[in-house]
This record gives sequence, structure tokens and C-alpha cells, in this order.
Amino acid sequence: MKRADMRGVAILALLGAAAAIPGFTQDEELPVVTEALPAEGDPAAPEPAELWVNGNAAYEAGDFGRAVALYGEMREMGVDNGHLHYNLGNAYLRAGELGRSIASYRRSLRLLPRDEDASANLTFARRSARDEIAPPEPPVLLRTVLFWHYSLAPVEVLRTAVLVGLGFWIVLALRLYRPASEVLRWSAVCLLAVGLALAGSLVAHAAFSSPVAVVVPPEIDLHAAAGEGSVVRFQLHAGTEVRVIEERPEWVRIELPEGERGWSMREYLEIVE
Amino acid sequence: MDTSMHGRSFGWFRVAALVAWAVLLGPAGAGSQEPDRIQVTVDRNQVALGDQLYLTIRIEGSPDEPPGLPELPDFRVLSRGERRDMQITNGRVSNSTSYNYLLIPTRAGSYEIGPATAVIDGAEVRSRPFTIQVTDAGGQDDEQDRDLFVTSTVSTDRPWQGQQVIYTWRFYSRVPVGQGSIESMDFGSDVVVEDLGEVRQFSTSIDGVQYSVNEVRKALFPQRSGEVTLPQTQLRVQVEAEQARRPGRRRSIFDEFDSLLGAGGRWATKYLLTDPLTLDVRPLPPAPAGWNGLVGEFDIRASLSRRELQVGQSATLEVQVGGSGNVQLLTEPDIPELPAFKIYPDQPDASIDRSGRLLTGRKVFRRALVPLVAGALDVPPIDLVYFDPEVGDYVTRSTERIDFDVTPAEGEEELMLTESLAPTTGKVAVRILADDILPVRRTAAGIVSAMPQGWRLWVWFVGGVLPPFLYVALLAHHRRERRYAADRTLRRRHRALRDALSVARKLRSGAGPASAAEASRIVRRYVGDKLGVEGSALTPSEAEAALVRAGVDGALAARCRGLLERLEAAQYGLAPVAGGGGLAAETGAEGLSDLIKAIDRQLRGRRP
Repeated sequence: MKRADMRGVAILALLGAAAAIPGFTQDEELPVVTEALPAEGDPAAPEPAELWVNGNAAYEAGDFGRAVALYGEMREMGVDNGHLHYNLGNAYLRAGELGRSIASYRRSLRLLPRDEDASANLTFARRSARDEIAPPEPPVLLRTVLFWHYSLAPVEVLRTAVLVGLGFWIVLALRLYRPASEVLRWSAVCLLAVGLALAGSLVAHAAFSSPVAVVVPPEIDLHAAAGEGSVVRFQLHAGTEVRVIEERPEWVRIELPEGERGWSMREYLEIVE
Repeated sequence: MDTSMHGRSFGWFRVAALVAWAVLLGPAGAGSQEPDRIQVTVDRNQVALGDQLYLTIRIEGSPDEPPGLPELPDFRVLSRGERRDMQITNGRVSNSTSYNYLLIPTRAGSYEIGPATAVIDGAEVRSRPFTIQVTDAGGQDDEQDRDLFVTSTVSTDRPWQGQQVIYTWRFYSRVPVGQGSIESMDFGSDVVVEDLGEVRQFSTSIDGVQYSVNEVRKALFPQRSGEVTLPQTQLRVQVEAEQARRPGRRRSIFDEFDSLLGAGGRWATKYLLTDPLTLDVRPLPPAPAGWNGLVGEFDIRASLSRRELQVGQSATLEVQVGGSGNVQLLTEPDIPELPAFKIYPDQPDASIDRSGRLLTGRKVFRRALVPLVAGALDVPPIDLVYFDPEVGDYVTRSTERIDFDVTPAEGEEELMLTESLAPTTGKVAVRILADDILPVRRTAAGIVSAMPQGWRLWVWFVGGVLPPFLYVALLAHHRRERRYAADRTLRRRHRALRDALSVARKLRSGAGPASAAEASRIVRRYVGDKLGVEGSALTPSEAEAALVRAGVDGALAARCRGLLERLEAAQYGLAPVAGGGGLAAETGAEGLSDLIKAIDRQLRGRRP
């Protein structure tokens, strides 16, 4: 292989390494934050780290409302990760907001799907829900067959797909100079198959995953049509998780596992995308 | 006249006699000729105990409902379905329905089978009664001569109420038998029945005769005092028909072959019944306080997992109650008040053993005790009251008092239930006292977004878009290199301009011989590479001619030739042909580059 050819393959490899840099996901163990970092820029505007530390302190002190407010402020600043939603779920649950806590745990598990703590707390919170309605979950068979889709967060799927894709192109590039290599050929086939599976997962996450709504007030009415004057078909209670099948600016249509459908005002539901 | 009178009187007598005959006998005669609309038949009217007979009720036409069976108190009756028949006789269609029953006699004697009834077209019809003889089946009184028989026994026929009575049913056989099943072993509601293991099979010898025995054991618990009857138990078993007819016949080797090849399929069904048993159940004497219904033989033990602990630490008190008898009634004995402890009860462990000769069981009750005060504490004796049938009275057993020392707690009181060890198993007895959510996180990952804004696009570009383009570029490069390797002329032609310009940029300016030679070599090499000929051997005229043939404008070709001629002259020290003063500029880097680029523009896209 000549120097120019090696250069091309090396560029592909470097791209792969760049895609795998830390910070792409939240799986990496980061140090515990116990003190707020000094603010940069506007000293009046708190940094996410400061909100994080103060939110945790408020939670530990039993001021769950303040903890919710501080964690919520972090979200408004654009911070979005599974740990924040986990803490927010805890704070909501302690504050008596069952529906919002379940929604937060669901968001946490969407970003950290293998997080046992979030799963345990979600199970705990669900025990307080009044309605005996199974939360919308995919069938076990589907979860087993498409394990990568349900066990990996979308960002993890994206990172893995990028790495696999780069590996595929690198292997293809190497095959230009080692066309007879069976190892390279089968590596390319395998990487292509894995890459397609991951790409399909990304497409499914983006296009086909239906949002879930969690009931927030203690009790809500589900109407036959989108309007307060419409007939109330049934009622749901705080913490019940239902599938969203249609969204309008002020109304959301949901569906129960048995197929019953109804409209609720959007403000009564916490929708988890 | 007499004659006539006699004759008239005789005539009246004959008429009266005929009328009387018609009135009295007519219906009877007509009835005797019409067939019975309901008939009850049996396949035989003499049967031995242990055999069975088939009873058929045949009804002409379609009955409105199934027929009513006659009273058969000394037979077990099993329905064997019904059959409908249609007959056409002399163009007349008739229907009949047959109901089949299997009768199994339960005792010997002569029995009149009463009329069966049915309702046909709204009218009730009755069959004629008949008699059946049930014999003792020769030889069955003498067990030694029987090939198949069943027995049932009880461990005691005068039990106390609630006492465990072992009921043993055995099937003895000394001939090969096929499938068999116990069709009824129902003891009624006066006794509670518990199975004692699976069917046991063993061999035994009765007065020198070897029998194969199947044994079923049950533990019975009479629920009321007085006379309690245990009904007969019926076994249905398949025996070879030949064997059934001649019980004493020995099997030949051909019978064995028949059995082996599946040809020995002449089976007959035989029913074997045990005799009913009667228990004289004695009532229990008045019960003392604390008795909860246990009858049998029981014991009680208590132990503590640790004898030395601090205030706030926990120890497990384990109370075991077990024995033989009505173990279903085992409940936690009354534990005395323990005001110096916090007490957390646990789910008891229960086990019942049915594999032995008696029904035995054991229950283990656990409580976590957390002392609230320091000092010498104790768990008082715990009593268990039960009725012992052997003694005929109530018995009280007690555990020993358990003493232990409690020292003051070090630091705050803390419940440590998970540290208490069960005294017998050594396992930690854990009880979930309460549940709660897991705590919040403090990791710095909480302040970093999983996917910062804009990163997704960058990742898509780096990972998804760029690699294919790079690969395509690499592929193009690779293919070009392969073509160059296969065709060196092509490589020279494609790289002629780049190589020429590259060398020309390094050319030393001036008109000296060295510079002239180098500039001449650059021009000739370019022309040679571009036209696919050996450039160094070209003369200026040949170069001009080759360029013109390749499509270069004549003036430009002449310019090239002129330059080459002047360079040759300068190279060999001759006076320039013309315009020698401008040679330095013409053969400089820029001059050569301009000439070569001008030629290249005209040669671009043209194949030599």
C-alpha cells in the first residue's frame, strides 16, 4: 500500500476515533459534583453545575419544590440527560407529583435504558398509580428480537452506527488493496448488516416511536371528542401511562391497552416523546 | 217346540258365549300380539360377584325423555350410551332407541329387577320385571384360591374424633393383568382424606402363593363421633379373557408370544370390590384452654439466633411445631407477651411429609425480636396443647425458657434485621420492612447534555456523509493508479504538464549552457511524454512535426522548435540563431511554463 493510499484509510480511521470521543453519551463515569463551579460570563446567571448542586442540596434538605424548580431551570437551559431526569423524577415523587415523576423516570430511561435505579424508582412510582392499566410497553418478543433497539439509547445507537459505518468504509478501503482477503470480505458483510440494523433502529426511534402520555392531575376526564362539552367516556387518574395517537395544540387523543380512546386537554398530560 | 225352544236357547247361548269370549279375551288376545313398547333385557340372568352384566332398555319409537331405571340398590350402575335403530318392514318404518347400562353387583343374592318406565307420545309405559341371581363366584371366599382380589383395612376401627386413621387398600394378583383403575374411593364428608404417597408395588406370599401387590394408603381424619362407614372401593381391571374364564390355567409359551406380538388382546374387564368398613369414632373429652384442634403426637421447640446482642439489634426467635396427626391444623402457638421487645412477625414455613407410614408435618414460625432495653431478658416457655390418642387425654408440651443478655447500644439505635441468623439453617432471614425510591445522583454527568445542540449534525457529517465521499475518492485514485500501472504512456501523458511545470519552477535563470541544457530537456521531455515518444531523442524539427501532427497550431509548434534550436546553440556555445538577448527570459521558469501551458491547452483532450 502506498503512502497516499494509507493516508486515505488513515483519514477514515481518524474519523472513527473522532466519533468515539467521550461526551457523546452519558455512560462515562464523571466525578461527583459537590460544589458549584465559578460562573463564566454573566455572574447573575447560574451555571448548570450550580443549579445541579443546589437542586441536590434542596432535595437532601427536603425542599422538594425548590429541587424541582432548580432541575427544571437546568432543563430550560438546554441540559438534557438521563441523570437530570432521574433526579427530577425523585423530586417530583417526593413532592407528590406522581404523574410528572413517572414521566421523568421514563425520560431518564429513554436516555439511560439500562439504568437499574431509574427502572426501580419507576416501578416504585407505578405502584402508587390508581388505575390498573398496564403501561404501554412493546411485547417481550419484540424486545428480545430487537434487543439493540430497546437496550440502547438513541444516542448510543447513533454512536455505534457511526463507528460501525466507519469500520465498514475502512474495511471496504482495505479491500481495495487486499481484494482476496476473506476476512475483510466477511467483516464488510457483518459490519454492513450491523450498520443496517442500527440505522433501522435510528429510523424507528425518529419516525415510528409513538409518544406516551402520563396523567398529571389526580383525576381527569377523557372525552369522546376534542371539546370540553363532549361526552366524558371515562376517567383516568394520576400516574396512568397511555399511548398518544393524535396531538392537537390544546387536545391530545390517547388510547388504552384495551383499545378505548378518548380526548384530554394537553395541560393534563405529560407527554414523553 | 222344545226343539225349537232348545234350538233358540242354544243359539242365544252361543251368541252370548261368543260375546263373552270377545269381551273377556279379546283385549288380552290383541295385547299379546302387539310387541312391548319398552323392553328391558340383560345379557345373562346369573352373574358372579366381581363380574358385570349388561342391561339394555329398548324403547319402540322416540321417547320424550330418557327412561327411568328400576331401583338397583345392590348394583353399581354405569351408563354405556344409547343407540338408535331404524327398521323398514313391508314398507313400514319403525324406530327404536336402546339405552345400555353396565351393572356391577355389590353383594350376592337374588334380585328382582323392577320395571323401567318411559314416556312415549305422552303415555307412560312400563317394562316387565325379572330376576337376577348373583352368586359368590366359586372359590372367592377362599382367598388362597383366588387369582385377583382386593382388600381394605384401617389402622384402628375405634379412633378418636380427628385421630389419624391409616386406610390401606391392596390389590393382589398372581396372573398378568392389563390396565386397571380405581373407579371409586370416596369416603364422604365425614372424614378428611390425605394421600400418603404414590401407589406402592411389592410382592408378598400368602400361604406359599406369590402375589403381586399394589397398595394405596390414605390418612383419614374422622370429623364427627359415632359410626362412620367407609364405602366400598371399586377397582376396574383388564384380565385376559381366557384367564377370566379359567383362572387356574397356566400360561403357555405361546401365550407369551401372543402377548409379545400384541396378539394376546383377548381382554375382559373385571370389577373388584372391597367390603365396606365401619369406624366407631369416639368423641373427644372436653378441651382445655389453648387447644386448637390438634390430635396426634406433636412436639414444640424454640430457639434464638443469638444470645448476646445490643439494644436495637435483632435476633430471630424460631418456634418449630411438628409431629404426626392432623398437621393441617398446625397454627402458631400463643407466644407470651414480650414487652421489652419490638416484634416483627414473618411468614411461617410449612412442610408436610406424605412419604412415610403416617402423615407428618412441621411448621416453623419466626419473629424478629429487637430488644428495647438493656439487661438480662428472656423468652418465657411457649405451650402446645394437643390430644394424644395413645394416652386418651390432652397433653401439654412446653419449650424451655430462653435467657439472653442485652447490652446498651453503641451510638444510635439502629434496626439491623438482616443480621439475624436463623438458628437451624444458618441463613439470613431477611424481611422487607419498607420500600423507598433510590437516592438522587450527584455525578457531573447530570450537567452535561447527552447530545449537545449541533452535535448530531456534526456526527452525521463525520460519520455518515464524509466516509462515503472519502471512499469514492480513494476508489477513483486506486483505479487511476491501476490504469497507470497498466499503461505507462498514459501515466506520462497525464502527468506531463505537472512534471514539466514542477521541474521548470526549479530552473535556474540565465542563458548559460547548463541552464540551456536543462530547459531543453524539460521541453523535449514534456513533448515526448505528451505525445508518447522518447522526448530526449527528439530534434527540434522532429518535435515541431510531432506537435503539428498532434494538432498543435503551426506557429506554436514553430515557436517550440525555434526555442529548442536556440537552446541547443546556447548549450554548445554557439551564437543564438536570432534574438539571443531574449533567451534568458524565454528559458526562465515563467517563459518555459507559458510555452508548455500553451502547448498543453491545445493538446488537451486529444489522444496522440
